[in-house]
Amino acid sequence: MYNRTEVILKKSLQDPRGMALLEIIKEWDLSLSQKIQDLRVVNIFWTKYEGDSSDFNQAEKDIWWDDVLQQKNWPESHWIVERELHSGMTDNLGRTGLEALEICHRRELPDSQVVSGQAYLFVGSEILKEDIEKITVSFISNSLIHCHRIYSQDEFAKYARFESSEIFPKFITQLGEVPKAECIPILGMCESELLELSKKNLLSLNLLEMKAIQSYFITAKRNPTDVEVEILAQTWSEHCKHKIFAAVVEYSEENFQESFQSKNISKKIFGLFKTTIAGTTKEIPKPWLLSVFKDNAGIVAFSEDEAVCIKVETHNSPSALDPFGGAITGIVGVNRDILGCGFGAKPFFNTNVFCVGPLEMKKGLPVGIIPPVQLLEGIRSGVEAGGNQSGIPTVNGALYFDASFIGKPLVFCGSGGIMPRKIADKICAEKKIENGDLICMVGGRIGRDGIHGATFSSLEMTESIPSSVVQLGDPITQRRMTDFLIEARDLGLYRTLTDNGAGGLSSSVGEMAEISGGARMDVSLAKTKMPGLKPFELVISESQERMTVAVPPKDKKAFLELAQRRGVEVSLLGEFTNTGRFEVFYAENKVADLSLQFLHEGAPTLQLKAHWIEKKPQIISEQYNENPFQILKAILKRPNIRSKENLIRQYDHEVQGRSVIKSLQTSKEQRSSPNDAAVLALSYNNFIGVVVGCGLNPRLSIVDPYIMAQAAVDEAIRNVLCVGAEFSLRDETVLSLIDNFCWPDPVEDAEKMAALVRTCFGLREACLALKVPLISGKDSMKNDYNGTQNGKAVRISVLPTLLVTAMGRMPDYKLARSADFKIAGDKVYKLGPPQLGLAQSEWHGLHAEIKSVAAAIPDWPRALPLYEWLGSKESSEYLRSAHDLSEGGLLTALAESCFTNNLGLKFKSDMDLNLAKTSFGEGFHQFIVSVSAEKAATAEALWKKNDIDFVDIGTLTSTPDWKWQSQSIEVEELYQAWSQESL
Amino acid sequence: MIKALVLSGDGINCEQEMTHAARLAGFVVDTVNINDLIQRKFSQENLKKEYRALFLPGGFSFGDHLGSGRVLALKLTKGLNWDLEDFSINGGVVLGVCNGFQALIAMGVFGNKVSITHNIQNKFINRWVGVKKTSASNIFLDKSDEIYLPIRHGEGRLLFDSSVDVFNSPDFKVSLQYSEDVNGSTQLIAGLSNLSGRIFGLMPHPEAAIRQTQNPQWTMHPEKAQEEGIGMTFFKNAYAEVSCL
Repeated sequence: MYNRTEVILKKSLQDPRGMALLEIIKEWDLSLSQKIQDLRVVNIFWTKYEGDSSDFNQAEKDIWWDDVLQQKNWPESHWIVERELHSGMTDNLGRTGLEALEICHRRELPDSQVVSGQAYLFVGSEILKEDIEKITVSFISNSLIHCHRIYSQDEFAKYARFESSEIFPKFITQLGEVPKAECIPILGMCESELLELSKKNLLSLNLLEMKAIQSYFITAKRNPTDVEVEILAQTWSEHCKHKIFAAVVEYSEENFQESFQSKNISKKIFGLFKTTIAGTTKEIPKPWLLSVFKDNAGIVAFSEDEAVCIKVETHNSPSALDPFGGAITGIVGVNRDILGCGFGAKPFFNTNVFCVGPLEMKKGLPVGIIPPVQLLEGIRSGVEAGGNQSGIPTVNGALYFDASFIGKPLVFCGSGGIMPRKIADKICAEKKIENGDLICMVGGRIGRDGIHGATFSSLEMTESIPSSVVQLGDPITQRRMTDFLIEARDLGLYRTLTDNGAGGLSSSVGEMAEISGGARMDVSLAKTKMPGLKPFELVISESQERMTVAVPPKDKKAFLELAQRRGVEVSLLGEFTNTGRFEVFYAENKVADLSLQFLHEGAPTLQLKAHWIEKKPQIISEQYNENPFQILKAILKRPNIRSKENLIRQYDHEVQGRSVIKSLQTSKEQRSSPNDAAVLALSYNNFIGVVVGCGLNPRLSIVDPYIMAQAAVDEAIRNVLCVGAEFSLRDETVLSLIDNFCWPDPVEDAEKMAALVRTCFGLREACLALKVPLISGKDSMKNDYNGTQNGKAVRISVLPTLLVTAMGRMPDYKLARSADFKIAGDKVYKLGPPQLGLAQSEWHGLHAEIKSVAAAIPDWPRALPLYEWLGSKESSEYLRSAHDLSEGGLLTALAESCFTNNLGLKFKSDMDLNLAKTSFGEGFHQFIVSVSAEKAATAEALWKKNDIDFVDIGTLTSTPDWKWQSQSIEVEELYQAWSQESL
Repeated sequence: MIKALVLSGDGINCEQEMTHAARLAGFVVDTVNINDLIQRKFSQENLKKEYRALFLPGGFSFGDHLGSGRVLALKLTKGLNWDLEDFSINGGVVLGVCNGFQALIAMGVFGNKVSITHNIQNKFINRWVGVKKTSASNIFLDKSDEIYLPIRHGEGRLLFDSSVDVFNSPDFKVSLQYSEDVNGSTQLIAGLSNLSGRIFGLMPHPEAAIRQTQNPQWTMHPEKAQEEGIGMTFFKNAYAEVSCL
């Protein structure tokens, strides 16, 4: 039988979902929103049920009915929009509906199916059909993932919605054709045909690479299958292979003035990754580095028994198309990296950083671009759902606005995991596979979603996008899989594991095969969301929530039995071998047989040119502001500075009970200001703290990426030092960095390539100066949009962006610091060498007409004594608060520190606040701290003794205002400016 | 040895910290996946015999896809046939936190005239809030001082059938109220108990407030960083209640 269940909220109750959507419409088009008198949302479940209707009716009531909340009658409305997911896409509500049916029946119902959807009910007699159409495509139905129908009141009355004939088309039926692999006649192709093939099949391979494939098959004396070509394209994609970072680069400079330090840049670079990233870490070896750059995440020893791994990913292309789906799969994807790190780790925190276009850009955007307001709400809710539902706290992040991100937003998703260093005699940071171990695909099923994700993200964005690249997330399936795999890990039921991310099985099995020396699998055995998937789709689909696990044959039974008890599906696909081949079957047909060596080492190395034109020397003139407090008010309202409280509070940042220092420092009166980094308890049974912070400043790449990179490192380090992370140049200090590059395509652009080179060398310079190693990273190199705007062709490229994430340790988290000023009477100091500048600062953003301002440059040797002191236990005896001076400069940092406890500040009258560089300069090495009046003299003596620069700024007052010379301002006025339009 | 059962699995997320809090209070804790209980046919009799306390942790069981706590409740009632009122009459105590509370509501522990749904602002919210015990008896809370606990939920708005007098119901007692309106919940209700006060469900998370360093204002008083948090009261009182039997 077929059934339609409608979950209708009582008319007498407010519908928060409808209200929230109405709010969004109001933001977007006020006059249109005024035509809408009411907007309500109804959940719909279509069921194909294998039993009779009397059984179903009881279950339907048990599962969906609620006396208090619901009514049976369909409410009157003028327009109805009904939507559901395209068939075959991950339908979480539908799947849970079926599971609930099975619970009610106490057995499996293999022939039943539930599909979910929603109806949006609009009340308002003046609403036109075209209004509804606009709202639907803008906010309700994304054509890449949804299908929808719009009904007027009359049309809806005629819609026989409970009839089987209307319901059964929603369910997937068997396709007639038997899927098979196609032969690709590559042997006889000329160069243009090879390129055409790459383009048509979305392989994103260049001519050299296509020719390498061709010559491999000429030697093999046969044409490849589509499966083989796809496997090669995935494995060799920029996304998976990082070809730009492996390229041979010729670097040159022009107009070069007496620029500082950058003379260290080599003229010929044999792989930026090898020389500046891995090479840098090699020069600063630390005993606690357990695994760097070879696994899914970097692994660091935190105590005798415990290790922490960390990874930051980007999900830019998927998020540009479907912000919610892109972000949620970004976060659950990086959680799988953690789960699949070493012998398996349990995620215990998430981070997120978004770079998006300015929110006021709403109309007249390039074709296919989602307006930033909507995009931000989508990615925010994706990260919320991914983290909150999985029970992983979102503890740190940043939000950065710039018009260059309008074409492709940057969505960084990070995660940290905890693992024991040893289980029985197994070292958890290592991966091992034996010949004969079984290949198990665990978790979600394969669908047509996420086909060509890896190769697609290696292309620029255009207006035409194949819908198959979009993926939807299913946190509950992943949560079950995680619980199961951690349990199986502790029982020793598998050898090792890795996640199925970009490239799907082709990448996961292909990479694991390197450990044993080969693999053989039959993809027709894989569980799928829909029938009829072709062999190549099964091999490369990036359908989510899947891990590939190597299971020794002796543990097969126990592994499968535990999986079944945990409600986790396993597909046994084949076995790892030592034949040196990657062999794929579809039932009895061999559809791929590739040499592993060719697969992993056959891609030709790129040769790239990098040419840097030094900007003309800047005329440096001092800038003055008559009324610094009023300028400050304007800066506090700027989007990059403004409160992000609304966003942060929608992330669960305390689940797992590890929280010590939170993103926001909040008073009992609910006044908040930002903390610099997160501190988490490593375990419930000791006081070791894990500290996570980040830094980025993409706009400095306009000045010089060499500075941009060092600024990102310094900001990340400053942030973790503020809260109390340990720091010294000694080997035992546990502090490491993660680098994430998001670049506009540099392959054909020597200047963008030079920016990359300079960033890498800047990063290296900072790491070596601080003796802090890089342990993991990722690059995304094609962040360009190519399309049309107002009928004209446009290309929009992101600013070259390096995100640096710092992960440090505190031996005792009870000594952690927050950023808020605490007690009236305390003295306020600025610590650190004054390496400040105004170029590309928030102040500069307010004064765009001024071109000639200088950027800050670092002075690492002079900063080191301060960093060592802040990173020592001694500093905790003196400092009541610490906050770093970053975007918005000194006054912004001081204001933020005053907000939480609503304290005033009496500035020393000799402070030169009129000088813009003093009040609003941004840059390197500076901190704002408070010290009790009793300890101030000893603290000053200590700083002098240790060669630490300090400036006495003033004294905290209980009267909540700021006083400097004859000027004053209420802290409340500043707080309102900062918090009123919280993002 | 006094044993407590902490449920896990199917999207329950807070079992680790709940287990830790119960252990600190003195319980010997089994943290068991609900599917294992079903497979072992762990009946009402087993429950009564083995355990004195049952803890239902927070999380997103079944993704809250069909309403918060709803499918978990089905699994507990259809899969295990548990009767929690009977468990409490026979000396047991039950604490449901957040999603655990939502499941208790969906199981009908507080009658069938109460439900819980999306916050009025339609947003998930993570903050700390003052809550106060009412005069209703409740074995988990002893004083009526305002205490400060974290909330982390998207569906915490309690709604009642219009026929219900919430402070005079034969089905439940209002046990805990917020000191301000955080989610649109009827009468600022943050928690309900059964009539005996031995089954208690609440939206705030006591298990995430068991050390002072979890409190958002703890850095104002670094000298108190060693101390335990107010949330331990719930677990210690539960332990005291069942250990004096």
